[in-house]
Amino acid sequence: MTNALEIRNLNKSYGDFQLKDVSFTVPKGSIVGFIGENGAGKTTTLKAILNLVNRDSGTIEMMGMDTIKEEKKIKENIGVVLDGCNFHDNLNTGDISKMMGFIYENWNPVIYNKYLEKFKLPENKKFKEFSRGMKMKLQIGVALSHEPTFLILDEATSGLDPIVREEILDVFMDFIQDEEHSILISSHITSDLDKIADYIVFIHQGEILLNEEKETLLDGMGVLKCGIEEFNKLDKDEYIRYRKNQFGYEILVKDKRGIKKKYPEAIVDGASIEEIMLFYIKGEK
Amino acid sequence: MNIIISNSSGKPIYEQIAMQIKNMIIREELFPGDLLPSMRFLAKELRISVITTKRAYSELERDGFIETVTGKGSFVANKNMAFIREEQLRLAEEYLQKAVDIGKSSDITCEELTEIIGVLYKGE
Amino acid sequence: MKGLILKDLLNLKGTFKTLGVMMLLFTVIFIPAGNDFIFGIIIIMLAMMVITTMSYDDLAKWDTYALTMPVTRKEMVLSKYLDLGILTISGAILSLIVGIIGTIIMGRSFPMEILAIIGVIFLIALVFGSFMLPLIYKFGAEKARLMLFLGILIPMGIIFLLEKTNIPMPSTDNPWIYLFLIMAFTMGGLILSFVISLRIYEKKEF
Repeated sequence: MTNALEIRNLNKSYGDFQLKDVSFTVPKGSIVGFIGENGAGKTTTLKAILNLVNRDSGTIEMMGMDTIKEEKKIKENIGVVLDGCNFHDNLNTGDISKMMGFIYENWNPVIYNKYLEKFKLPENKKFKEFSRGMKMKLQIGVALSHEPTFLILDEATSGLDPIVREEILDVFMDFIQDEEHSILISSHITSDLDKIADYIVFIHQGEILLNEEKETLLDGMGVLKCGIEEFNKLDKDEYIRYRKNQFGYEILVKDKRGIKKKYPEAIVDGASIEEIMLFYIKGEK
Repeated sequence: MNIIISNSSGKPIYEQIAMQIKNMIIREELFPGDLLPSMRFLAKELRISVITTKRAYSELERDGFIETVTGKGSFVANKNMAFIREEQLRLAEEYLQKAVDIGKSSDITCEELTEIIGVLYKGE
Repeated sequence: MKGLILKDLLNLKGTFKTLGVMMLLFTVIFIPAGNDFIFGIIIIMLAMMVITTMSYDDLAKWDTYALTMPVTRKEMVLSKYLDLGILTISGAILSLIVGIIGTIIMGRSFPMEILAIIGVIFLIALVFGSFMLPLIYKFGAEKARLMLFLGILIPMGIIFLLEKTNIPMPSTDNPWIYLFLIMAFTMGGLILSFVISLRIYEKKEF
């Protein structure tokens, strides 16, 4: 079973920032959530995958094909949504369809119109009159209308209200009903990923810190809350990071059931992806 | 059919799903040959990962409750329900035997053990 | 690539309309006065619209998005050069039409000079574009617009030089060789410009 995406040892330096040996895969049929703070290297990695920026070294393959050697063929089959990129203000939805018909071999105007209807996007209005949410939905509609097998989404739901976000997540879940389809989604809205991601890849300061099945991550990790005496009793390998405040300690543990068994009196809560991220970035070892 | 999962229960989600489907089969709310929802559809509706539903179905298959036919889907297995219940009882007895052995060797009384069983049934 | 050109033309719809009105005004003002200035303006203004398409692209961060589609960097650059060609040719055709209408209205016979003037300005517009496009690729449309003011001096300078220096005018025996040379020079300039623009664009990171 070929992976939708395979990155091996991607390296890129930009002045004082560097992507170091970034490697991960997107297995076919899965949704991979890509997380990290601003400046951690998420967008740079995605841009390297798309050949928008050059790389110093490393191989990247999509659907078994090298992204440099078979770029055009690959790009026929992927749908991309990039935050910050829009269609020209003066154009309308009809113009886009005409243009895309010449660009994509498999552009399907029927599917496109279905999405326009579903997202309630007006036909003869210029894009300068579109709200942010409408522009995002349009990009998503366009990305899905040439029958791609792989979606690459960079902050495709940021700035949108929860109602619209759920609508869009549903569209992605529909997309993934076909097990030949896969999604790589980078997002700050980790609560979305809590719900739909199959795998979580966490990048920090240019390096991959975590790459795991989301359920295993959320099922295993927990936050132990206690005072200093209890904290000092812990072995170093029982916890990942800790944070302290004036009134106690919060400790990210890898095996919350194990900890609970060992210290049945202890307070151990579940950890969300956001909390895990915060511990890794702001916690101490 | 209803499948209700809790994010705050101590049990992993795949276990909750597997257990609920298992119970439906045992209580004969599902019959041999019934088609179960696809793993992907279930994941979508419950808003969880496909890996989780896959795991749940794997477990059910391993325990003999369902059969998955590639290209067609997952079906409730054509097994004798009474036999399955026997199997589960036997398995439970096996585990309980272990608890009893520990109890006997550490001076834990039968009442204490029974109390623990009662607490466990109520859920953690 | 057709898609890219189509997008540029669709984007310019509004600009065309404004331009159309302006041209009508100019025509009404200048033709009766017998001034041939109008031809120069039509062609140059249309040619300069390529710059407008590029600043629209910059605004929408279009290139970053476009390169995620099955479009090569070569096609992106080539589409702009084709835009230049299409716009300039359209300008020349429009000038011709205006010229013909003008002579009909004024009741004169059609002076062959108009053809020569249109031809020369057409080539100058292309040379002008050849200078501008690599500059835009290197420095962006907005900075390039500033350079435009300086840039205007180049075609004006060429026209000035041609008038002042005593370059032997084509003898009526072989005007075609002269014409052929100028066209070859312009084509060469365009090709060189394309190669430079492409080099710049291929190295660019988005």
